[in-house]
Amino acid sequence: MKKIIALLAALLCLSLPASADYRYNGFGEPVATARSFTAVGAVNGTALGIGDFKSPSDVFADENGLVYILDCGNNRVVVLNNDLTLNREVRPEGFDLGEAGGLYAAGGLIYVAHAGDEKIYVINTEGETVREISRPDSPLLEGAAFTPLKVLADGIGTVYMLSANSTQGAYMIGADNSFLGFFGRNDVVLTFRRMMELASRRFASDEQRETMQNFIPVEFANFDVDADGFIYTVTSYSENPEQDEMIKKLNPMGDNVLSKLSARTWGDNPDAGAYPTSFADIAADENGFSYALDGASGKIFWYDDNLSQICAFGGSGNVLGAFTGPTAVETLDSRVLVLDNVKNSVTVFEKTRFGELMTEGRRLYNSGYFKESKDIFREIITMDPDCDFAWGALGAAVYEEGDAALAKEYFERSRTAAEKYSEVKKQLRSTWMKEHFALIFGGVIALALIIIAASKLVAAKLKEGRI
Amino acid sequence: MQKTGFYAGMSPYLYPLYILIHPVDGYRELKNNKKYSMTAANVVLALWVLQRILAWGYSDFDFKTPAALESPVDLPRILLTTVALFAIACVSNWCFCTLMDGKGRLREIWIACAYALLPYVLLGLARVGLSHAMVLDEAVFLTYLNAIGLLWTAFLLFEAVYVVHDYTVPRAAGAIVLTALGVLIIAFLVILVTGLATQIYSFFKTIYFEIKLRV
Repeated sequence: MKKIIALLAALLCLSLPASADYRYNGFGEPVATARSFTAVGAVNGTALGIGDFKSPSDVFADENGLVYILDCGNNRVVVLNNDLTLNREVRPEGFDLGEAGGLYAAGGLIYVAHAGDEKIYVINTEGETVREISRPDSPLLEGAAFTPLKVLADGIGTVYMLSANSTQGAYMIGADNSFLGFFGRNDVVLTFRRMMELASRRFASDEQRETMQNFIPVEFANFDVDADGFIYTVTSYSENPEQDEMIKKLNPMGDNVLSKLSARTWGDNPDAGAYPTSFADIAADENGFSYALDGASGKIFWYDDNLSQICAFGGSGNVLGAFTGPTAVETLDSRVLVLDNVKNSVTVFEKTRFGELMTEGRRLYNSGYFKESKDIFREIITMDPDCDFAWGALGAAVYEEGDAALAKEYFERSRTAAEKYSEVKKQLRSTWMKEHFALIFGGVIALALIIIAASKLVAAKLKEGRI
Repeated sequence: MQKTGFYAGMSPYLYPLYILIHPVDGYRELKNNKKYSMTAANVVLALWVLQRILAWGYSDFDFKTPAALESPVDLPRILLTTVALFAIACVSNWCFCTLMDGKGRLREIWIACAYALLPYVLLGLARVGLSHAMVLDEAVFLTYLNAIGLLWTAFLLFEAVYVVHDYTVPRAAGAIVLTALGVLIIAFLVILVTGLATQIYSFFKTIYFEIKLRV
């Protein structure tokens, strides 16, 4: 099996160009951009001196900067220090990690979602089980699956869980192991094609109807929680990535807080000829920026705190910084960790100067500090001269400083800020009209007189038949 | 030659402007008094090309189409969708109307139809200029301007076919529908012939290289 995967990976490497960072411009076309992240190394079991990882399935960094790797095949959780050296190995007592798929750690406790046992185990760093959550006894859960794949927890002991074969969203389980309710959940968007199918269902016989597909929402593939308690969810499949909410940012009520007004394409743009993106995991960093991992192509899509896409990096292949079996992504300070369960390693990405500028610039801009972000964006455009976001932000900065003419120029250079350009144009126009009121007023009267005189003259000449 | 009406003595170069405001009388006199000017017609066509170029390259940034923002003026494409399309439509109209007892000659059709384009072209030029004064909130005015130009031109085209061929109204309408069909047929034939010609060209080129490299 491994050989086949390796062969397939090698074939993929041959057929794809060497991956480089790219972003989508305002017209939805991929363009090359300066690197925001570079792979600085990979952590594997041999290098740590504890023997290779065996089909690791998840990685998580806790609030103290410790990194936990769920190494299922070796029945252990590997804990790394912040500098990615070995801290300890945790071997659970009383159960086997065999089919565990997800891991979360907080306050010295490790939460393990175990699909095989249909349980969530909470173990301490000695490996002793301190809490065990099995299927809660609740009428709401009748007929629902309980196969934990991924797990999160909050400060008061509430556990959030994603189950296989469940389209209801995340399961919320209270500190007393009772079922609190479902959380989030994707909606089925009514598209024209689905409307036609619903219409045809009306005229179908019962037998035909049975063979027809039901419209059920797509389940979440994975989720993460940020420092402010917002939960980010990803969905691995979407028929129309322009409308469906493949990435959601849920508030504690389970509502998506992202604006539905601005259309955005999640992941790659299929209209630009890319393969559809299949998200496997998402991680949010300390700034509220997030990183969504495409489990098929190994690309990591970087989003700012408004979840607008900045760029994509990574890719598939056997070199450092590319993946053959990407399964999980996690952030550690400003670093990004990607777990590969075929290469059995954790790749570490570090932010470049460009990536740091982009983070700081977007953070300031999105919080409304236009003037303060000006110097940063000036530096960004020396590295990525076509960056439409940077030009738009520069325009906003100089407009705030009062230089409307220059702002207009910058908005034009961004090629996407037509609305803002128009706004500045309107202001410049009204200033101009106020300054030149006498000229305009006089001009209109003079023009009217000239037109009347000329038309009389022409009419007279025409009557004489001289034109 | 029969001299009727107020503007009967008008120069043929100004005639398109007269038709612009008096379409019914204008076309009637155009036919009766033979006020055709090939130069004036071709000036209108040239203005159309100019308008398309200006709209592509010199509309203000916020009114440019995404395509115009991305690529420079594509002159062959513009010529193809203005002058070439016009020529095909005229030929198509001439073909059908000759069979349908139309009185117009190709030259007359060409000139009368070119005059009919004038409102669309002039309002198009105005739109390019106004795009620098208007903002996006007022974009709807420019859309109206475009629609008015199109409707006006459509009416003039109908009037042109109606008068030049001396048709009844339903017959003129039928002729216009057939002309549109004819344009599609001619375009299809042109594409077919171009494709075949390319293949023949590459065939002879291959033979030439085969001989050149072997002998």
